[in-house]
Amino acid sequence: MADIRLSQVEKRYPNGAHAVRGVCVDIADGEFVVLLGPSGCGKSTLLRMVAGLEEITEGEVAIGGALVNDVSPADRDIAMVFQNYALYPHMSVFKNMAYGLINRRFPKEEVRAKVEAAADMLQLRDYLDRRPHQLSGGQRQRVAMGRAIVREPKAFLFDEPLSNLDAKLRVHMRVEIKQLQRRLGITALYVTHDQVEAMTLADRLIVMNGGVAEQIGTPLEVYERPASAFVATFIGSPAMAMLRGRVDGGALRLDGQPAGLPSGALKAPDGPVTVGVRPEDLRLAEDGWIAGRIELVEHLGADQVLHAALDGQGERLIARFAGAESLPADGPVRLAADPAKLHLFCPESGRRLAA
Amino acid sequence: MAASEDIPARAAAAARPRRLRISGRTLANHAILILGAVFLCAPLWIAFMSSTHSAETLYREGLQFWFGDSMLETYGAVMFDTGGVTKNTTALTMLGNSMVLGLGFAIGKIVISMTAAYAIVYFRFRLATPFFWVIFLTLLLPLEVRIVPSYEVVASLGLLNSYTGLIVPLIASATGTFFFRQFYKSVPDELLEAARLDGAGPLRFFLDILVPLSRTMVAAIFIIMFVVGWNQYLWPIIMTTDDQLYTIVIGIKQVYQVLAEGGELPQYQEAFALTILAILPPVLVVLFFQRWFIKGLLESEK
Repeated sequence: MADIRLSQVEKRYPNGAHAVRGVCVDIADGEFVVLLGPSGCGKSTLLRMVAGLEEITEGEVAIGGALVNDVSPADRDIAMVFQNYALYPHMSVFKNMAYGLINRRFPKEEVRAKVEAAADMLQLRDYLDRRPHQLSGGQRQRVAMGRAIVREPKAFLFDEPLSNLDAKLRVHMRVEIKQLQRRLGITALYVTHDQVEAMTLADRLIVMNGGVAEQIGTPLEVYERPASAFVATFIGSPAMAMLRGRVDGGALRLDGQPAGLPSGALKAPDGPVTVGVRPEDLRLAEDGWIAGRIELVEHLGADQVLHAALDGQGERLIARFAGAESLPADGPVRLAADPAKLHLFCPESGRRLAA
Repeated sequence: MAASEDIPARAAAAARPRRLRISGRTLANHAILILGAVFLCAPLWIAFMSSTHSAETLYREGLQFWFGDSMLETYGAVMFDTGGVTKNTTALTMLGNSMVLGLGFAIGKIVISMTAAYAIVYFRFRLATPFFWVIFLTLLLPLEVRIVPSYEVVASLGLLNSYTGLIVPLIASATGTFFFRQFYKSVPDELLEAARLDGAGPLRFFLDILVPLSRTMVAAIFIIMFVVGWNQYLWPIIMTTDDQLYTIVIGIKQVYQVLAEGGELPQYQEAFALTILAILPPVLVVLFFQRWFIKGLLESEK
């Protein structure tokens, strides 16, 4: 058990690709931190640098207060769970879990005791003699977890561990991972591109884009106050609508739209803005300040989802309403949203504007 | 062989309800297959049958198609009697030599090519790829091409007439290295990474993970290489002048040489017996490892 400290971590590949750019984060002892981002954003690279599987170009990685930049993966006292499980196909479940302990020269009885304890915790007791190919996906996943926990490492590293499972099992294993990590109190760093996984598992989220940590915060913080337009559109499903407009003396006028918000509605400096509105914050209003044309209405039972093209913007937005009130299938529509629920971003930098 | 037993059984079961409708096509297929089998087996059968007759019978009546009465006599003489075929050695010694050559050749090739491929695939050193292609290029230089310099080297090392000299120059294998390289490249990287996190060094990873995963590859290459090694002819005949190191393949040649030189009654039956003996071990290796090989292929677990 230990904290993990990353300071100004950089990764440049020999071919010039700049995969990770100056990431700084302190992960507290026992914390569950999720690295979230689209593919190619550098999240896996960052994790692999913590594991020691990738060299660190610049910056420092410390685990439990000790600098580990030049420490081999085996000596970092961490355990990793891989996307495809990476179980040794020719070894039994027992041997798979015991291999790391055997290599570290633990006495035989201790190895047996530790593996059996882990197997009990993961309900693998009856499968210890099986080979990985005789197990189901969920069981293989558990063996991979077991291999990580028998060593009682300082930290768990998860590299998209659930993406090979079907949807139902994924939810189940997600809960299991979270409970296990809580129970053992071991620091965890978890990579995923699935935002539901990220939101439910994380104590804190690191949202990455293009090698940069765009925002670090609790899931709720990230959801409610996204630090950039990228984070705003990446988190939340359906995605947040992004409207182009201008702030003038606290009043908002959307480009190409007839109406707007009156002056004093927004506390933002004058100039062009990108306005983000979450689908669930939109409501239908006869005199709404967002004008568009309905393209499609989806009925999901509890909710209905409205897709509309915005007048004069060439953009689409998605709105979600509770209930089953009948919406017209097409035609013009007016929408409104509470000014307090709007997210304003700088159109050039994409950063959040103070509001 | 379980497989070949239940295939006819199943075929028979399938055919029974409509026994009357065996098509002309099926008949033709079977005719072709049976003809092929007979064509392949007949020479072996004739050689085996002829080897069980006495030299006089063969000289008088030619090739034989059924068992004769001097089988034990002939094979006994060939196996244990130094006066039998070549003047100073027995078929038993020659079989032993061939076995040493076949096993040494196959095992040597496997060990060398596995380790070479391991170095090329898993260790990042400069010129790894050029090295690989250089190894690959040696395919263009089989032993027959470089036999004179090879002989030079072995002779100057004082290894003529020794097992070492017989085997070592043959075991470098571009094909084996290539096969293992391709196989290692197909092993997922995560396995290596998991092993590294589990504290396995390069040697442990090789012995604990890669070697067991390569079992089927090893079986396949062993079959091929054992047979190739067993059938080596040119190199052993140049390398060895001592009868005690003759392989069975050289032995056969010696017998026919004696036949050609004439003088006494040609011992055809012994030549046939020696041929049969020379065929047996490779056949057994193929039969034995084939089951193992197929089992390994079916259980492919990667």
